Amino acid sequence: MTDTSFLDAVAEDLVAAVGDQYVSRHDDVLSAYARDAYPLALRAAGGRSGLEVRPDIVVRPATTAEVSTILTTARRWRIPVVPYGGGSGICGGALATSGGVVLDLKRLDAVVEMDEESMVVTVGAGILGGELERRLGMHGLTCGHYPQSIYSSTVGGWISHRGVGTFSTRYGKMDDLLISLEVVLPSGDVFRTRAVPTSAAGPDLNRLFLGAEGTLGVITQATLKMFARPTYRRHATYRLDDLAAGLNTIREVLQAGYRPAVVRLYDPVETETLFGQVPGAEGATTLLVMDEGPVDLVDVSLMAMSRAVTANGGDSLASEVGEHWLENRFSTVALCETLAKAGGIADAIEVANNYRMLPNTYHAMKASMEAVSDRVKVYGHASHFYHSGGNLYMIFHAEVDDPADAPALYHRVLDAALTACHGQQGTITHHHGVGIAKARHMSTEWGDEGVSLWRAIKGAVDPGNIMNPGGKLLLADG
Amino acid sequence: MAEPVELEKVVHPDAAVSRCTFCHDQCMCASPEAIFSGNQRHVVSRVANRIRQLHSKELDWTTEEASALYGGLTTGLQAQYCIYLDGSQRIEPYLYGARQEAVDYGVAPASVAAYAESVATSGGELGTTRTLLGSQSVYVPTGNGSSLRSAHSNARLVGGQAARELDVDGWRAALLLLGEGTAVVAVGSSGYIEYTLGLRELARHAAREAADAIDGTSGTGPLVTTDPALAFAARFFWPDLGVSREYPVVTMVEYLAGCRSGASVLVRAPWMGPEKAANAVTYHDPGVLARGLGVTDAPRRLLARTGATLAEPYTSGARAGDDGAYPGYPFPEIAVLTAAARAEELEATGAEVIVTASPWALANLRPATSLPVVDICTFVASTGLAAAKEPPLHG
Repeated sequence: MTDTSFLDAVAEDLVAAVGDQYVSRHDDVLSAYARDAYPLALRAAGGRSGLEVRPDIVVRPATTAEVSTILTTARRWRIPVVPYGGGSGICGGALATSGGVVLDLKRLDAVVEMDEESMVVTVGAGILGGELERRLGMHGLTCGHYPQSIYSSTVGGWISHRGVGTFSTRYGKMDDLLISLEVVLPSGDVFRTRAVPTSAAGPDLNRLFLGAEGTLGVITQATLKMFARPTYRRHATYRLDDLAAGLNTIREVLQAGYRPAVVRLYDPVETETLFGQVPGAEGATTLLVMDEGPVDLVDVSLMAMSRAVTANGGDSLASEVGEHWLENRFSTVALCETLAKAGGIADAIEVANNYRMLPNTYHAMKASMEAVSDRVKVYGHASHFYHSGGNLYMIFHAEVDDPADAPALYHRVLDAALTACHGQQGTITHHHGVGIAKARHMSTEWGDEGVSLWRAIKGAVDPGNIMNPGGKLLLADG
Repeated sequence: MAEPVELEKVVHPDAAVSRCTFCHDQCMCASPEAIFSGNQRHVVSRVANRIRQLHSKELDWTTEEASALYGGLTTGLQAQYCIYLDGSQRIEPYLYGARQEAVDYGVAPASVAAYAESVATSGGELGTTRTLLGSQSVYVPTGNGSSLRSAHSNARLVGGQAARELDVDGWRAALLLLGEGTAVVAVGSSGYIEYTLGLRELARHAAREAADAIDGTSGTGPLVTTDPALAFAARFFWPDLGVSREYPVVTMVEYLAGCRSGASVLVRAPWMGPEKAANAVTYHDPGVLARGLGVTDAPRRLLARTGATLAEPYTSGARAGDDGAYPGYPFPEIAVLTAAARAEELEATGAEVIVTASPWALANLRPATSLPVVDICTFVASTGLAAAKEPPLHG
């Protein structure tokens, strides 16, 4: 988008909506919003080959009313609007791939209400996770949602891509933590759902916006569950013969009704990478279990896991694994170090499947990804478990001699991984969302009927297609 | 911290600034500018990329570009959230170097130029406009500190303008605790603020003047100060500013805590919930003291000796929230919001008094809270101490 007079006119209207200091077209600001954590955008922003993206205008509203005025303005000018939180998404969902207006929501950061009787908290969608935990922590409370990106992601972002935290097996995914929403629709109208524990009043409209990645409107406020900060925490670590034995152990515990907060099963390569120094960990498939909360509940769930491990032929490992994980759980240093190399490319691909299919999904994805090039290293773990299955994290690192080849290699590995996942009837994303990274696989994910339904919804809610267009969710915009 | 910036390293893949460029921004929630202005340009990875682009001539120096370099990175809080947990990833040296270039190019923020002018005019680090703090009568230093002093204490109390004038009570208390006859070394400025703002010539001048003042004072006892910024500057900045001899200045907190006592303190871990403790004090860790000098246990040991119950805020120690900013910081509204957030955290402990150990922290927090905010020397000297069973380790 290069028509300066057009952008001048749009910017003038935006200034009228939020004030001069909160609208910017300066290079300094535009470049700051030209990336999220999508590997190719991150490379490009750092001066390497990748995906060049640039918004035309950045606007930073502070109220729902201002967001409404901005969307009304954007609709009138038919200019794209890209909601932006912390910019931590690794699928490119917050990239202004069609230019237009980036709408930074971080000024909507109020803790509006804490209901300590119902244990729900209403917050502005732009509050950062770490800041939310600080605000709740002062009162002995927590949201229970601790994603790896907690310090650089916002509540609105968590909802928009259906995020998950590391303690999710107890507290739940964002799908489970969300009580109600306030959304500004592309028309500028403000829509609110009721902050009730459940309802049978038709389809759950919260779910229309969960995972919509800003394509249907702008989430401005949310009510989430909150919990008393736990005072008791325990962890245990085990080695098992292989992934199948580990998954069977977890399945037995989960299906018996136990919900330990953290359940993570590492393959031997990731075990070696993360815990190689721990005696007995070498060559092992490692199971880390951690729980927190009431003493009796925690002790019982850890005991159940211990029994299941023994029944599946496993043994205890030294406790350093759990301590090391706790200390390092928010670090993404391995990915970043590879990305910082001139020809380096890396990503963490998270998929989900049923227990029956998870072992084969892991093996099929690993084999397909490694078949792309002998310079692709793949390892992974399973985490975030449910009654019927769980999440698989397939992590790859690769390096090419010519940095210009890195984007092509990235796409080949990603395509191989997602195609293999679909081949095992899995879903291509568990909590990172779709963005532009996985968009081209959505027609397989949803099927023709699903795609048609989605396009009908998108067309009805956003007839001008102003909300986060440019290849998000689906390759062709609806 | 003190290594000079070698510009050719800035764009090297292994350089700290280059590694920051490719980061996932976990330090964002420790960046007051990003939190309170909501502007992504203040996130460290973006600032790092700016430095890289400026040094590789992809960008020209302008006032807009330069202002992004003046966020609160120098408090060290971001480093506590860094994904490089081994502490190896520090971009402060590059930041100071980039700020110095901004000053040289004449594009530094107006607040920096104003501070430089103010310091040059007044000869002190407070400049010409700083409002000095009055006494808070509830906590006036009245003890004589005899239980803390060695009979042969010969410490020399070093103070910049901030230590001596910003919090007069704290300075008086320090003198009381050290005892009559303590040699006083009055300096205008430690050079700390000037160095961090990129005002290298002013910093060099301040450091040399301070070193000369110390050399001109009789005595060979330990050098002690109430201002952690002075101690930090003397240890880490002065060698880089051409001060050839070492000046191992320690803070009063470190010095006094070296005095032995068997008292214990009740410390509530922040994750154990907000039970309010009656008659409790809470302690705010100043960034330079806790993160820069690594002094977090000493003030707690010292408070224990007063018999106080310590109520820890949600963030403490090296991860304690910032209390505001130093003079010259170009985003004063962010400084006010930062102080308010920290005050809210400290108040949430239920404590009746906030104790800290820096005249700058005191000046930032007092306008943000209705609770008394006192320097740890003032608190110790006003509450009295149990008799020490052993002599001080220092002196």
